[in-house]
Amino acid sequence: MNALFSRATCAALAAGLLACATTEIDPRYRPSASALEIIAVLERHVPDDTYRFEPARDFTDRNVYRSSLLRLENLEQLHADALRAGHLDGAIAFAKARALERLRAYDLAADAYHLAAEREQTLREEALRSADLLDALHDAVTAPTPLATARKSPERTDELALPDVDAALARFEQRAAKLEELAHAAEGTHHAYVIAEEIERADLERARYFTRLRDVLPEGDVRAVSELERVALRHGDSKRAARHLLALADLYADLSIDYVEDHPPEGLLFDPGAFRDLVDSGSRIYEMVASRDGAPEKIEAARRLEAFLAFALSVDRDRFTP
Amino acid sequence: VRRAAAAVAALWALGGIACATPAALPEGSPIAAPAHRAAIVPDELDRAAADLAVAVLAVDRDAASTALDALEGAERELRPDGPATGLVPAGIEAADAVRCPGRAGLGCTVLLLERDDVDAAARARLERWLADDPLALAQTRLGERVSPP
Repeated sequence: MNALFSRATCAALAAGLLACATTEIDPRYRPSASALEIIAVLERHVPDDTYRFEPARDFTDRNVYRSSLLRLENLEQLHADALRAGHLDGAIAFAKARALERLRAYDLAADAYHLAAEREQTLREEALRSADLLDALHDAVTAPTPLATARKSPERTDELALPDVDAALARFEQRAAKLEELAHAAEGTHHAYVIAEEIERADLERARYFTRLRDVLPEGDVRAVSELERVALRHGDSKRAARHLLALADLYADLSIDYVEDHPPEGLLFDPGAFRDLVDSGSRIYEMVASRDGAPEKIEAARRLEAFLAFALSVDRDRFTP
Repeated sequence: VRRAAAAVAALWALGGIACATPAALPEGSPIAAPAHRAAIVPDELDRAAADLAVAVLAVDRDAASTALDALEGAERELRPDGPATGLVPAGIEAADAVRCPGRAGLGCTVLLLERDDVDAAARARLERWLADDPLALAQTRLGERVSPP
C-alpha cells in the first residue's frame, strides 16, 4: 500500500514538474544581451566585398547584415529601459546604418548616420561622409526609370511610334555617369562595393531595356546581344557573372527559336550557317557556365544546354534528313 | 488505494495552483498618461562598453584596446566577487573585430574561447563560426580523401 502510495506520489510530482517546466532555448537563437556582441559580428563584415562575393551569413545562416539589423532592433526593444540614458544611441544608430546600407535602404541608412553624427562626436566625421554619399546614391538609384517617350514623327501619324532609344540611352548614360562619380568619391572605402553593385544593376537594367524591345527596334536583336555582352564583359568579377552569361546564352537560345519560327527548316530561306552560328554561340556560353565548379548556376546551365541541344538537333534532323 | 488516489488528486490540484500565475494588473488609470520610470543611470561598466562600441565602429585599434582595458578594470572594480557580466568576453570579441581582421580573427577567437567567462550562447556561436571556416573544411576533406588501392 505504502509502495503504491509513494509511486503514485512520485508520478504526480513528476507530471507536475513537467507541466511547469519550460524548454531551454537553443543558445544560437537567444536574443543578444549586449550591443557589443552584435557590433563585433557586424564589424567583421563591414569591409566585405559584396560585389564579388555573396553577403556573409551569420551563425543562424541568415544574411549577416539583415540579422544584425534585426538583433539591434530587438535589443532596443528588449532593453529599452537600460538604453534610455542614451549612452549607446550613437553607436547603435551607426551600426544600424552600416547594416542598412548593405540592404539597399540608402535613405534609412543616411537617416541613421545623421542620428549617429548628432549623438556621437567620435563617429561624426565618418557618419556625415557616409550620409552624404548615401543620400546621393539614393537619389541616383531612385530616379525615374530611364524609359523615354515614343519619338514623334509627323510623317507617320497613323503608325505606332517607336520608343525613343536615343533619349533612353542618354538617361541611362546620365545615371551611369552619376554612379561612376560616386564610385570615384567612395574609392578605398567599403562603400565602393555598394556602388559597384548599383552600377551593375544599372547596366543590367539598360541591357534588359534593349532585350525587351528587340522585337520592335530596328537591329534590335544585334543591339540586345551587344548590351548583354557588355554586361558580361564589364562585370566579369561580379558574384553574378555566371548569371549574366546565362542571360546571354538564353538570348542566343531565344534567337535560334525565333530564327526557326521565321525561317522554317523545310523552307528554302532557312540558312543552316546562320542557324549554326546562333546555336554554337548559345551552347558555347552554356558550356562555359556549366563548367564552373561550385557555382549554383552550373546545374541550371547544364540542364538548359541539354534542352537547347535537343531543340537544335531536332531542327538539324528535319533540315538535313532526306 | 483510495488514500493513494486522494493524495494524487491533491498533488495534481497543488501542481495546478503552483503553475497558475495571476494576470498582472494594469498600472494606474487606463485613461491617464502612462507613468514613465526614470532611466537607468549607466555605471562605469556601461560607459566603458559604449566607448568600446564606438571605438570598434570607428575602426580605431588603439582606442578599442584602451576601452577594453577600461571595461576590464570596471568589471574588476564593480563586480569583484559577483558573477561575471559577460561584457568582458563580448568586449574582447568586439575589439578583436578591428585588432584581428580577416583570417587572423580565427586565431583570436580560439584564444577567446580559452577563457572560462564566455557564456554558453556566445561559446556556441563562436565555435560554430570557427567550424564554418571554409579553408579548415577543405583541409578536412583533403584528409578524408581515400588513397587509391
